[in-house]
Amino acid sequence: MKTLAISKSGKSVAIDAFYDRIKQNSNAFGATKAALRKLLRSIDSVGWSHREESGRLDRRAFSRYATGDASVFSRREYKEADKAVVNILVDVSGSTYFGCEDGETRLVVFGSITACLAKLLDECNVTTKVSAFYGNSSPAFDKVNLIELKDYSESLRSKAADIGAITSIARSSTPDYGAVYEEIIAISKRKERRKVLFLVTDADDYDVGNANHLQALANNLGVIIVAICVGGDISKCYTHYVNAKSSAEVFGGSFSKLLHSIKGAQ
Amino acid sequence: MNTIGLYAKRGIEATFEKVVRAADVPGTQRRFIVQWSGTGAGVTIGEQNTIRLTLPNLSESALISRSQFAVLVGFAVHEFGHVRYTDIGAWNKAVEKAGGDHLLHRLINGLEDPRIEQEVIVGGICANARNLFEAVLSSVLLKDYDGGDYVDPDDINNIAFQFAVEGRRLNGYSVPVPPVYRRSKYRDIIEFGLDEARKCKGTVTIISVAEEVLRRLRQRQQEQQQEQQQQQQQDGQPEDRSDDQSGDRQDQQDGQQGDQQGDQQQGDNDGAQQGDQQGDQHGDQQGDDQGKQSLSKKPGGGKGELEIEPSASLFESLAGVVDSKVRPRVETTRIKIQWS
Repeated sequence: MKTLAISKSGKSVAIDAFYDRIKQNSNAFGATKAALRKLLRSIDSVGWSHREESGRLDRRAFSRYATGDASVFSRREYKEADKAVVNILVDVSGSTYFGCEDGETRLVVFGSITACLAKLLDECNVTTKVSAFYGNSSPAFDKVNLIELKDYSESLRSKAADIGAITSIARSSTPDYGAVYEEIIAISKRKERRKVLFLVTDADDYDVGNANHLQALANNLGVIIVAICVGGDISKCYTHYVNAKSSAEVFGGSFSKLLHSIKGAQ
Repeated sequence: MNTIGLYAKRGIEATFEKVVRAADVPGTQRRFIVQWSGTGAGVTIGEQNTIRLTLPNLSESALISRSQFAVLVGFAVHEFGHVRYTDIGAWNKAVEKAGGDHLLHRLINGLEDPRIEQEVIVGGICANARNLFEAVLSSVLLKDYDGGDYVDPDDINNIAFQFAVEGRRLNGYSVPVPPVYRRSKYRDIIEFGLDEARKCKGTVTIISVAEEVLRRLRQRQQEQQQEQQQQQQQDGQPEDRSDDQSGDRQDQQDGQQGDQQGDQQQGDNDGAQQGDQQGDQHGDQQGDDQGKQSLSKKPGGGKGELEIEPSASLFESLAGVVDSKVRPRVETTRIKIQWS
């Protein structure tokens, strides 16, 4: 694995930036957090197995008992918890240096969204990985540089500086197909049942055909792609998306509605 | 049970690798490449002993059925069988020697296919090769099968196809269509070809069997035409031949009759005739080409010239799961941030 060297003197600045971004949006967290919890929560499924020959007497089976049926008991059974895993993939290509309507660059907004999402997911006790991508793209070849900001096993606190440093690592063009493809394949191999990929991007120079292909691939692999687009339009690319102009808009009503709709569709 | 194209591709690549490795002579490590592009299929041997398997561009997001997967793997193993057990040089030389005779090429192919598949099965380089080859054969035979004859038994252009099917039946495959060669007017020649091909141990001997089969077929055609002419002369009714007869038959008759037929006959055959000197071989070639152009069925009923190689029907069996667009090839470099 290659390394991207950043001056140690900037680490505290990056950590501060990470927590500041969370703080700025924390007042809008409530609805989003609730929606995320509903989408990703792991529930210990406890069920009852009926028509057993031993166990607790099932009163609803009395009528069958009268006809000589001996299988009138029920038992409690426990099922594996329905766990979730989330990958956050952030576009850090050169186009993210462009500004948004609120005066910030797209990259700063991406940083806010990523920090807030990572924090919310951490609070929801969901296994999360955060990556950023840049590289070179052509119709025949995508060269993807995938920066691993936080791995599944790492704590958010220990990787706050890396996530906070998003604003200083942007460069090159957008190999969106290759990056999303790699992340879909990677997350599909996880053992958790629910797999969600959050894509934070400006959808600059996206190929709609390739994106639709990735959506179909994700559907077949049981991966939910949630695309968050800032400063562009991603509506034709992915099924679940939100187009926003600022981080405040992302954590406003539309994102929560989107999460609810995904939960409903599951 | 279905799988998605992504896993199907990897499964086929892994199987192909295993088969290549299993068949390799120790110390001669072959390189191999599986290329997913377009709609064509085939195997080529390139420089540095590289085997390149080309398959239709399967969509990674499409659902591939078990039968489609078996057909793809079976095709790959069949083509590798040619690489491993067929003497392509001797084959090309024989066809070249016969003036590029298309029928000879097809006869060699029809006799060689069951032989190499049997070699793959007996060689044990692919554990379930027989099932895979059966899947490929079924997909080819059942493509347009309407419950009747899978091929016109008397069509000389399809004798090679019958060799390919019946040779596999003799290999012990479960063939989903009944044989038709027993009702063919070339039955004895087909049986001779099948019997002799079963004894062959290599491409060279298959070629000699194919050449003998071709010689007998030509002889039989001549005899039949002579009988036909005698019959016509006895009836005293000269046949008014139309221009739409196959080049094959016209050249045969022309070769027989030559100048004896006189000016009237020559005039009738204008447009389709290549002349006496060009003889039977050219006539067959022309007839075969016409058959190919008309795809799988010739006008006028009956099945036309059917393709022996499974690659011809492979794309059809994969309809709906081939990606019309080539997706970018992905190369990923993973990077960690280092605070230094």
